[in-house]
Amino acid sequence: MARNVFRRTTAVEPGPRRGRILILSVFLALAFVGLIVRAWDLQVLRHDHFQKRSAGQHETTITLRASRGAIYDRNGRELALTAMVPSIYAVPRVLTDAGPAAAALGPLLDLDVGSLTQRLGTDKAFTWLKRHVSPAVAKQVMALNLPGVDQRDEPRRFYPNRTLAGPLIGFAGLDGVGLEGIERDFDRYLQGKEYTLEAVRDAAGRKAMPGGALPPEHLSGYDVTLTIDARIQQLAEAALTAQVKAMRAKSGLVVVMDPHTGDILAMAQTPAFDPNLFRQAEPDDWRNRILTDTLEPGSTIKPLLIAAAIDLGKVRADSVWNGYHGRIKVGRKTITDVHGVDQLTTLEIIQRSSNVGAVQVAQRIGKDAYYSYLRAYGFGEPTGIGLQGEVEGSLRPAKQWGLIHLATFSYGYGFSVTPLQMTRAMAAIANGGMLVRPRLVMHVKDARGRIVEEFPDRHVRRVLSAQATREVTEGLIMVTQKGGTGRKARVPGYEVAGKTGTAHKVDPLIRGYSKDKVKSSFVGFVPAHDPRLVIYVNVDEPREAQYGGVVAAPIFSEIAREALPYMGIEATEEVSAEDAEAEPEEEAAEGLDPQARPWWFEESVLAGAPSHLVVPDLRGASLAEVVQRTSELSLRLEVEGAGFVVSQHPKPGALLPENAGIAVTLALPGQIAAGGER
Amino acid sequence: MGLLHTLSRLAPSRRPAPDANATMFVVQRYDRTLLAVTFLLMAVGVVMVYSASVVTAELRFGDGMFYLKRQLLYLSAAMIALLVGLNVHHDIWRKLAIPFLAVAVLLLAVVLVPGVAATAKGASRWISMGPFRFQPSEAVKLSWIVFLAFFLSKHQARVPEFRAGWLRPLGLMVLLAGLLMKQPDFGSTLICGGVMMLMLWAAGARWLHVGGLVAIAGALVPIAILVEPYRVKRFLAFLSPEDDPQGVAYHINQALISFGSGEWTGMGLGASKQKLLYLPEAHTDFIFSILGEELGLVGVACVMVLFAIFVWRGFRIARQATSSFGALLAFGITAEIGVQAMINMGVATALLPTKGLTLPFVSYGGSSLITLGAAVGILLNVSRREPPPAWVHRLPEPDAWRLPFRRANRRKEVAA
Repeated sequence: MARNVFRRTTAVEPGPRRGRILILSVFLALAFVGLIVRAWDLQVLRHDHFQKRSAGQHETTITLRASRGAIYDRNGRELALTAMVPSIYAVPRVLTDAGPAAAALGPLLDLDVGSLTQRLGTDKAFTWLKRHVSPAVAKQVMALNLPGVDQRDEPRRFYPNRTLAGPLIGFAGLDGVGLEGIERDFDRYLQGKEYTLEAVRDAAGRKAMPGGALPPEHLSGYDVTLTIDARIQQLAEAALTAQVKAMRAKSGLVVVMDPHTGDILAMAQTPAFDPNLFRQAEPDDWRNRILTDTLEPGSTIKPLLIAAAIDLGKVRADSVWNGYHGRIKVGRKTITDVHGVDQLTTLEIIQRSSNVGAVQVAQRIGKDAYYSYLRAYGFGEPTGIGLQGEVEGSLRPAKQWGLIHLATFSYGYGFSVTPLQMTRAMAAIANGGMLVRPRLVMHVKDARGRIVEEFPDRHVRRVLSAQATREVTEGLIMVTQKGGTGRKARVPGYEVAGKTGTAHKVDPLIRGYSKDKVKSSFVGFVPAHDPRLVIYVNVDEPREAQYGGVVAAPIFSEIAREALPYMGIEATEEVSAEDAEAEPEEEAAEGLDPQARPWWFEESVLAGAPSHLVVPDLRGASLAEVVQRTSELSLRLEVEGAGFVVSQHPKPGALLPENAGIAVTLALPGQIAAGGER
Repeated sequence: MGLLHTLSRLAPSRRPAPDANATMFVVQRYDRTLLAVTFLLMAVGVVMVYSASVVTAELRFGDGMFYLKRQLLYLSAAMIALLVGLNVHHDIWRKLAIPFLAVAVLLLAVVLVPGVAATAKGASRWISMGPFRFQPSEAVKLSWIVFLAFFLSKHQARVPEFRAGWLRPLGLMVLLAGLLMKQPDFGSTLICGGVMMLMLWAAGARWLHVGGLVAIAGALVPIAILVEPYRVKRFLAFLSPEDDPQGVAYHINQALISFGSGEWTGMGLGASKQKLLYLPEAHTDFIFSILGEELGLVGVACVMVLFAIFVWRGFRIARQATSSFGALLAFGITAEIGVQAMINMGVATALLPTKGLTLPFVSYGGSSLITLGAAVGILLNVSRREPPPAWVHRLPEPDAWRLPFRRANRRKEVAA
């Protein structure tokens, strides 16, 4: 056998090779040193450069917004809430075959296949395909198993009562920013704060958040509780909608207010819209016209004028006035009444809505006094309700009034007011002479239920003496009695005080008042001697009739008849035969049914998918509350532990199919900390 | 260490130290340092393969440990190969050198048959075997070293000759290179050619001849680059990597970003960001970049030192081998592993253009790992300095087959 060539001791031809191994070793050692130097150069000397390039391609941040607060009515019923729903997105860079993918996705997402192909064919790292789809659609999309197409849960704003108080609540856009109504004006409370998460991104553009994605609780938006009562709101909307339809009117408004606190119990307008589908509504209908539109008050101003005159002591309730048989001349203008009389008392001026009488009362007190009372009633200034877009109306100073102005102002022409101003002025008569600030928001609470801000009710100033209001109230009661203009406002069992109004609209074509286009109104309160509700009704351009006593008064009656028993106010008067015959019983046909809702959200209306339930927040509730809430929602319940709910599954705000289950874990306060330790 | 202990008991116990003047070498225990270094490198490999592949594995197979499990499976196969190499006297490989090379070359040819081979990224390098794939070029590397060791020890005296010692192995090499480049597998060609050159040179070839080889290779490499447009692009990208970081130079750029963000101690095991699909082949050819990113210069230096120790022990085994065949075999195996490691590290640090060579023991890959296990086993067997047992001795000398050397042998017989 041949000897080892590498061994010096081995005398084998041809000479020593040991040196050659050594040479190679030296060579490899040099390469070794070279590599170490190179590694040191790259990793230590040029570290910052590469670190920066590395960070540049994988570091990213994700900005999220904590969930938006809910809007409740005064009884805690949800008017607006946020739930998590899936959105579909694509990473076109990863998707290899745009054509077939688009063909599969198009019909599912209701998108045009052609433009979808184009969007998927790009090299972009991210594109939304469709946001806020139903869970069923998301499931179908995920079942396609397309590379680069995925879903992500996003918060979506729901208005579970649909059109109820739509123009009042307004709406928030896709990105969770309030755009109209309460949603816009109380956005600073409702909006969840933005927070930024550090994330890493892989080469395909997918992001991951190593630090977790749940927003801290204190970043969630605050919950806003309104003074609105959803039940009364619904009554008002139903009555208004029915009458507007019956009268073939253009539109209508209703304000319901508590005269003592100024709480707005309902703010209805028609046509209404569904904030869930605000894009499908006319932008013109988004406006809360009760604050933003003005109108001439017409005859509804007369009780305010007479109250002012009585308050001044210049006129007594039983003063007798010359009726002039329905015609009185002021300057070159003749002012007329519909039914002229020979003479009438001060209160009969209200009862019969006599222009001739009102003119004389106004002339008696003079323009300065009348103007200062109108200002005292709050006309010509915002009410301070706290909503954007509120106008103050137009009321010219007394200095600019001529004789004819004083005359027309006495029956409500020549200046303009908002329905809200009119309601609050009538509330001043109802509550004994105090001007209140209308209140729409009761309080704002944070996510843990602590009150962040409260809005107490406020009396702005005294306008009238209690005595003057009592006397005018008698006149207002006469309006709904025999011989009055507003008999259709009667509510069986209750005494009603109110005033009708029929204001002819200004027709820009003839530069004067139109003969057949009117705004019919009724404003009043009930029960007359212990007022709990002030209701203002205005119907625009009714075509079947014109007088406020015919068009608007029945709406008042309809709302009051339902709302008073609901509020627990007992009937005091006997129901006369006349009342019984005059009031056909009619049930509210559409709108909110308080028994069936409010937790159910009928998603089918939005997305054509089966109903889903928004999981309630049960945390902190006792077992009794949990049982009640879950049985209301017909949820199956699994309970663990005793005490108060410390955790629940699924989490609040998730969507559940009907008849699904919810699991809660309860613990006593002492155990919560210990539980956290484990 | 349990495995080491078990393995140590398989070997004969230590005998007295060899006398420097003794003509007969004394049987000793296998080189435990070399084995320890091998195990350490393999362990680093398992950890790094898992770390580097977890994202890719999760995406492709829905199982982040997919590659880890496979690597562990391959590692057990490599252990068996190592035990076989350790316990079978290496002289048997001398006697089987020719058929082994023939089979390896045949498999290499089979890869080229359409339909048999599994292709990846334009190269057909694998033979599919159910869920596994076998890469013949790994087997070719080892059998080529065995063959060269056999050939050079057999014709030791004539190595300096031009025809017998230079032209013949070169001829075989050209054949081998032709098959390998057909795949194409530039990296393996380079390793086979390089190892041949080193072994010729170590066995005593003339400086002129070796210089000639270097000159030919020096001329061939640019040609090989120029004929393939993709190699030209890669080469240009290597020269100025940051010119086109999204195009051809993407790979090398990502490797540099990965390696460079490591600093002294790295971002921490498992904390690589580049493995988020930025660096392709993170768990195979470019595992060293991920290692640099996660373990920093300290980790990089440790791995380099392990390879240095491996080479040092390997060359020591070659020097102390009892036979010329064993010495050349040990030298060839050590040189091949050392050079391949150096090239891989050079590529990962952008000192060399991209080749497609794995980092021995560390990179993911079954064929490579099993072959390396066998090679280390053989190396350790050489380190035992045993005389060949009788049954190996009784096997016919490979000359009896006389396959490629018929004429040379005949002339030798005539001369005798």
